[in-house]
Amino acid sequence: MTFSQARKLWAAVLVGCVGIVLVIDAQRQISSRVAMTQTHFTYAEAYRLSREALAAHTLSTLQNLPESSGAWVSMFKRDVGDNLQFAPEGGPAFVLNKQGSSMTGAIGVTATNFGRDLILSRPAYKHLSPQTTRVRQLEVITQAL
Amino acid sequence: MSIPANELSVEDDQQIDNADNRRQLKHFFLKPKYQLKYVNWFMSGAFVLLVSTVGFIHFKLGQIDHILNASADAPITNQIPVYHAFSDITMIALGGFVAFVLFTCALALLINHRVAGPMIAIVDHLEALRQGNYDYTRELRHRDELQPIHDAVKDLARTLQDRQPHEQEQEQEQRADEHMPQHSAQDQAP
Repeated sequence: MTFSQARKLWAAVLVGCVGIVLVIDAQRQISSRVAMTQTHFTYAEAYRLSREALAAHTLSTLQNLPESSGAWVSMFKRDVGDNLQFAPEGGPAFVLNKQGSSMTGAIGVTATNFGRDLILSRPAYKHLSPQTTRVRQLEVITQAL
Repeated sequence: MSIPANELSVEDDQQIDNADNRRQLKHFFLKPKYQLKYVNWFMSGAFVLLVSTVGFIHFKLGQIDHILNASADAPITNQIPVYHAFSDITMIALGGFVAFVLFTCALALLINHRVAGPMIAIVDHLEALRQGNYDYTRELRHRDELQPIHDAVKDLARTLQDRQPHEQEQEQEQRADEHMPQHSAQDQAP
């Protein structure tokens, strides 16, 4: 085998290796987006459930409203569905803090004013930008009207 | 402990032959000039297809990032575009695979075309030689494979053609020798 032929052979091997690296990277990127989507949809679902609960409590005072952060998290765990029970990296899907968990992708939940004001935090998980949504009973009523 | 050669059975001989014919890694590149040409074509085409597919997938992943980070109030409605983007990624991956299969088929057809055509030509040439037609000529196309075999067959044809008059002379001499003793015997008879 001449030098030129050996060079061509190594070029083919190199191209094959680069291709394998590209495929592995793409696969990791897709998995990352799936995990990000799970975190985002958990956040969106918690936002929807909290608005529903606050609106229902406004329309009927008999409807129990979670009065603490822990009670809100329990309600989310009950209503959010089986697919969103856990964070993408494992552990609970909701945590009791204002930032969430950028390590696991869990949503942060903080309730004030006897549960009438709720802060939901989407963490800076992978490529997601951190977001915080404040859900207030008064705003929900105003928007509904 | 070695077994004497005369004690080896036919099966033992066949096993030894099979062991000798076993493919070895170093024999995979006996003709690198021909083999590497197609390997490079294959790798280049596959790499272009792979880069295109991965590029499209990254474009769609960027769209997903944009959708997920654009919504400030977590609307549930942005699920649909995200699902569409993931569906597109699946279709792109499948499309890339189909394109790769088609490319591989096209390359296989091309290689077969460059081997099958010369094979027919060489078989025709050998048939012509068998019938004694040493002037038969049939050139291969410029990029055809099996060129060395074709050249060897042409050399064989030339060699046979050169030998033919010589062999005819030898045959005539043999016939003459066979007749000669009879003539001499007749001459000596009273």
